[in-house]
Amino acid sequence: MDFRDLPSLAAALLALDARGVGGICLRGPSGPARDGWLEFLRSLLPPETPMRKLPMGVTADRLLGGPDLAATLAQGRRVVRGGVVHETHGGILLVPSLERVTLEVASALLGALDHGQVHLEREGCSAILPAAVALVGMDESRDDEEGPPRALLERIGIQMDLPARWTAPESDDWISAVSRARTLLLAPSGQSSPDAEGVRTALARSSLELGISSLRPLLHTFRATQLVGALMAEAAGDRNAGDPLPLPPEALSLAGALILLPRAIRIPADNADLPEELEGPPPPEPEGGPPEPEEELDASPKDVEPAAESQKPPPEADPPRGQDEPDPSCREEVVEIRPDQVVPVARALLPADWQPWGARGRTLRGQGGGRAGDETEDPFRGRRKGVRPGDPKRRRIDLGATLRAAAPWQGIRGREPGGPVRIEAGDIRIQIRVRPLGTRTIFVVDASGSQALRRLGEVKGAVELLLAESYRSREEVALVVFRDRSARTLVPPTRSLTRAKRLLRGMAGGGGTPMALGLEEALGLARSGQRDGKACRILLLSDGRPNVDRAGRGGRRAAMADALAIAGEVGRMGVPLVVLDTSPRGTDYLEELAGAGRGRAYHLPRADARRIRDRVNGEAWA
Amino acid sequence: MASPYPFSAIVGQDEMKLALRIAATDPTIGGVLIFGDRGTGKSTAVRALPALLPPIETVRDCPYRCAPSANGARCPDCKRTPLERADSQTIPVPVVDLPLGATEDRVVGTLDLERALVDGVRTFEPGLLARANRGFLYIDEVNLLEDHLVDLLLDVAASGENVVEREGISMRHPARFVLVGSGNPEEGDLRPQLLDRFGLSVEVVTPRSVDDRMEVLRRRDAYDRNPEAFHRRWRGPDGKLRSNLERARKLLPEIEVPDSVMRTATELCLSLGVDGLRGELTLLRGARAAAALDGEEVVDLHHLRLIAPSALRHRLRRDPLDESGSTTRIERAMAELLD
Repeated sequence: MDFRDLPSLAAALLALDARGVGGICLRGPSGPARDGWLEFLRSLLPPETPMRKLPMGVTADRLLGGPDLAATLAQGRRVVRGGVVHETHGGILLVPSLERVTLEVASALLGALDHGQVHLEREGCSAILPAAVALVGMDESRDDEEGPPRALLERIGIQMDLPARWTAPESDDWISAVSRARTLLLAPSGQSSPDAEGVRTALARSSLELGISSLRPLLHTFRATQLVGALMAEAAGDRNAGDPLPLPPEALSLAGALILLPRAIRIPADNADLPEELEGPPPPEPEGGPPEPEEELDASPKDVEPAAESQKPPPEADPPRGQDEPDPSCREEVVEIRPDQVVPVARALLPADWQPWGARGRTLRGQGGGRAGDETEDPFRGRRKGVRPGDPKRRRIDLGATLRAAAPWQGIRGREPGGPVRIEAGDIRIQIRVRPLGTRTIFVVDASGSQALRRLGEVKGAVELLLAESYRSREEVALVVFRDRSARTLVPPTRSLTRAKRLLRGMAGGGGTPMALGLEEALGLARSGQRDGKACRILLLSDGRPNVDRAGRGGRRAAMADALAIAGEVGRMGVPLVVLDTSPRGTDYLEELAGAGRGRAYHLPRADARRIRDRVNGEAWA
Repeated sequence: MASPYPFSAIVGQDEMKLALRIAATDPTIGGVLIFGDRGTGKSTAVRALPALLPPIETVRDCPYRCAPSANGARCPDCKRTPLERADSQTIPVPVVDLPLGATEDRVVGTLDLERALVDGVRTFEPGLLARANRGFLYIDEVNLLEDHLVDLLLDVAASGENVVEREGISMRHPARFVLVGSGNPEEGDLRPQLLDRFGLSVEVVTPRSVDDRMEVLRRRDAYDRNPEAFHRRWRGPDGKLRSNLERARKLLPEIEVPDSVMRTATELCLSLGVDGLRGELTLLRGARAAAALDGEEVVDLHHLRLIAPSALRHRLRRDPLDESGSTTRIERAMAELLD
């Protein structure tokens, strides 16, 4: 058994306490590796564990539960039926394509993940149903695509890339190890492990080094460390049930590699071989990563908690602090876990080219997109606009309207006084819901040449202005920058000013002008936006002609032709294009480009933040 | 669910704790919005509230928890019953969770389906707003809640009354509650119109010192291992907070605001360019409640300073080109005025 085989270890931890470690988000394409891993997981789980797959496009009533209409009508009293989440109580909910989960579904899952129950307040039903489930989510998104909803990912403990060529180990050893570790864990151990304080110190320090702000992953890692500790103790074979479990440094590093490192927004420089005397957290030097607030990194707790005095042992038994203090009898066993070793050791467990998810610049979904003006009909979400007869399988049923529709016919249908109401298929009314349609404005900014920095500064201002004002219309903004030989999405589509500001901090300028690449990148964002039903538009800011082509090679002619070709594609896709020419005298080429994209060009030699914003707002994008 | 994690055992987060205690002292303050980092104990704090609040007296079995007194707002049923005949009971202050998947009919209340089916009678079945009357209504991830529901909640919270006209039902009942919403700004903010209607807004950041983080882990571990012992340990501090709250509520009507403090509050709002009177009113109410919690009978500048960030930060006009956040701007303005 190799504990360093992280996918196997993850499966074992899930089999021991899936909720304790917060479930898993498994990244990678579907394929034999994933199937093999799932099968391996199933073989380790106690056979009676419920495991349900969440179907794509599941409706809220099936997910959470709701009135069972047929039974309600048949029995003449309200019958509540629990949904898939409740039916999986005590088990594992498999979510294929976690990145495609709608926000409605994600919201519905939050309660089950946080409190282990479904609080149902729907369609005239009110109930609290047990639903202690853990998620096993499959994230198939690539780094440049939108990932799973943030609120959901925050609550998932293990986040792991599954190598495409991973194969499951022989499961017999693991099965017996897991079942023996389970016995060790079940044995009531009144005292905490003597190593617990060391683990907590290491967790507190390394999470700060890694730039992890939330405390949830720390709790998950702590539990995972206990589980790994149990597996290791079981492997060593010298444990009696009831002994406090050891929490060796390797256990913490393994748990850290599964839960902490993936959410890092920076990995501190490798300092495993620094002198032993080095005390305290090493200064984290983010390398081009987004800087995080660190003001209070070294601050001692500002004021002693008012509660601190009251931690003196109360008259009752149960010495509170003593629980955490090492039992003198096993003091010699205490393993010092040097806080500064955890991260490097955990990092070494991951592949050399691995990058933390948090540092890959991925977009996670917040609310389902920008909103402006127009409305679109939506089966479930949004404002109720009315009712109409229809098929209750595809829309929310409107019980009140249904009953009203049935009421006049009761006498004719022979309802007895006090007997059930007689409802026929034709009485069924469904709700019409509308939600506002979203927009996505994609800025494509030329960061080449001498004017780059000034232009970037103004665009940054314009993006911030637009976002600050967009609460009314709720639109999304994205920013693509091209310079030198490449283009990249500096700000993935977002509605959050907070997020955009953070991403906009590290912009560079100068070099060649690969306009085609920039437009191509923007086109990709527009395409994914359109898939989600958003109205997308592209705003290009430049002051000249491109000189780097689509393949990243220099050469004016090919570069110009390529950019025109992509602009043409933008036009064919029906994505409105506006070109802001910021050169002093105006450039014919940019006008030609706008024409190729069926868009408009404006000459704005002094384009400052407010002018750019006014152009976006003033444009009749169509 | 096991008994919730005790309020006083939450490490740090003083601004959030104070805001919740102030809202509990003076519910007319108009709700609390808690925005910030994930996993910082926002929900934990709200769920721990009932243990801090003195229980309330209600008309027995009244679904709206009407107070058995002449001056409180009462539901139609209670209005019909003469007061001297009303039987009363004591219950803990309700703290009602509004789950994100809730439908509008369950929030406002709707036709009682069972009675409609069985007896063919139209009766009103109270919703979550009724359950939250005289207590707290909590929405986690409030920025993920559909806008029309947030609108509706703020309307009811402001008027203190839920008016239902749907499914052929016509009903109005008291719904006075403190709305508490929490969320993470990276998932999109609330519209400014909604922001402004929350009385207080607090920013929570995750503890950034090693010791605080360790203390969180330590306490959580102790709680998970033996919840009863943990509760015993924190019963004292929680009890102190409760009696403090009780005293503050009694003291509140007596508290004076000197003219000089009132003037400073106005000047602060003017210098920050806060529109409307709501900011000033909240500022004064909050300062008064803060004084009551301190056991003092006169509001002084210290109380104003304590509450100003929570009362004003969500009312500042956004200036995205000004890099400093609203908290800094308020502190700057206060320093200019007060020092």
